[in-house]
Amino acid sequence: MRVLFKITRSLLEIAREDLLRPHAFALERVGFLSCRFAHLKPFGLIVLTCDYLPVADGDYVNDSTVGAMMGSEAIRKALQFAYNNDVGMFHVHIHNHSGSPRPSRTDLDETAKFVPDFWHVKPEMPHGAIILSRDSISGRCWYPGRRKPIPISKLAIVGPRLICVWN
Amino acid sequence: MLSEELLAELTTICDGAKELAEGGYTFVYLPGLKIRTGEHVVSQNALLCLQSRDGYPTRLFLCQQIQGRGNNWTTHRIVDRTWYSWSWNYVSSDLRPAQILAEHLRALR
Amino acid sequence: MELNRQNRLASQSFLGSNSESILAQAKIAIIGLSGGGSHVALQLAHVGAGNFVVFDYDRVEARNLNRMVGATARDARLGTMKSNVIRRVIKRVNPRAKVLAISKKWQEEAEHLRDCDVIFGCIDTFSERQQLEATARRYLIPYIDMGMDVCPVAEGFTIGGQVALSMPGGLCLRCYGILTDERLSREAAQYGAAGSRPQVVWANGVLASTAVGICVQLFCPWRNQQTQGILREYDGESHILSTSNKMAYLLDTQCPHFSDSSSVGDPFWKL
Repeated sequence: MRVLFKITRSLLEIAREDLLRPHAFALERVGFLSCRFAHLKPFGLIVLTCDYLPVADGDYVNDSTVGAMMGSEAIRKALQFAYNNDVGMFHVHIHNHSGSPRPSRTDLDETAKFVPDFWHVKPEMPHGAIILSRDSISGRCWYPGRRKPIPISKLAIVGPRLICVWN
Repeated sequence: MLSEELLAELTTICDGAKELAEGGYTFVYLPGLKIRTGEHVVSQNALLCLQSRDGYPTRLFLCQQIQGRGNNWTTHRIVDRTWYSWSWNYVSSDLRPAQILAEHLRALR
Repeated sequence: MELNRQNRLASQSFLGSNSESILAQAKIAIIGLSGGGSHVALQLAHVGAGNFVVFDYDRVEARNLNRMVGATARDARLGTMKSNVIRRVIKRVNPRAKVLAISKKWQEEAEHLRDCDVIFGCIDTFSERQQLEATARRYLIPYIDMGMDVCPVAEGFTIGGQVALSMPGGLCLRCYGILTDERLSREAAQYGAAGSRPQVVWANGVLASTAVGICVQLFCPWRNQQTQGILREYDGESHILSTSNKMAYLLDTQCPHFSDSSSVGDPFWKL
């Protein structure tokens, strides 16, 4: 299955600005992008971002072994948002380097745990994880019924400059 | 946005009726709307626009054209689906939703 | 003989070292393939666009030959579908291009638009523009609209037109004053029939070239241009294309017509 992800430049900048803000103890911030979907012929999925949901300062857990650890309240709020707004949720954070961002071991382990939890509230929606770098973007999509996430093959940033990243 | 009371009028006629928005307009989706055409009753998904749009104060769109009923059928793409409507104008938006719907369906009898 | 791909686009290398692959991977839809759309298709083929979805439900007639690029007298005799003509036009310039030519109303096969990178609207009616723009916004696709008109005036006729960029998150055709309730109502009163409107190849060419330039600029800006809204107006008497005066008033305006960020995707989504 091919997966296409699209975000407007303006929403991406809102997310980026939030994710780059310093935090009292977390080395990096995380957030969520709410998304809606449509099927692509012959067999694909398009993911369209609607909004950015930041994780509040107080919802991080002080854990020095990782860059950022969301507390249970952060997850609860994201689950509630998904349920109330009938959307899929894509976790997002930044890797502060240039070039295509690759998920770390921690990224893979943590997202594998909490992303499928969104199916408890929205079982019919895909959910996922996006990583931004200074100049690129990558992501994975958890599609209902599939155990493993699908790499997103094309990510498009839509704005005064159209940027398409192929993975 | 329709008030709950007005939406409920349409929900009693068509179970599953819900509002959908696009481009500053609000439409009411009517799944499986029963439409009387002569001696027959057909069931179709429909879309009702209760506000002025494209020169029509209100308008009803159907997922399929009904042969032998209505004139000047046109094709539309609204809320990501294909719809068809016919030339039947001047059904006022001042009427209650159920009356508006009834007036549009009258053209197909 | 295989064409030398390295030389083929050498004259536009200033678009950037990756421009050839960017344009080759771009997926572009063109709705309406007569006067404006035929120019757009040909020019995009020349610049190396690699994937096309083209829509027109009509056949070539003799009266199209004054402006439809690529259409021949034989096409008019045979009543060739316009979409097939345009596929031929594109493939003759860029044999590697993938072209999905659909001889139906775009509303009936609009699912093919969902994964396009840019949509060109080269259509006659305001109602269709409204629908096409809304569809483009739903799938976060930049929409480039073209329109040309010949109007009778006291001393003869006046030729005019416009090209507009409707960017998701930015100004829309209503913001620009292209779509108005008055125009839509007037059109509805004529049952939506555009009729046989006067059209000429040179004006269509000016508008189409501008539209293609805007498209290429979106993918491969050659001078770091970045603009959220574009409205160019064509004066067919002076043959001048210029930025509309409206843009000065619209400078810091937020579009109120597509402000609902949740109106994206398939509202009837199911697995």
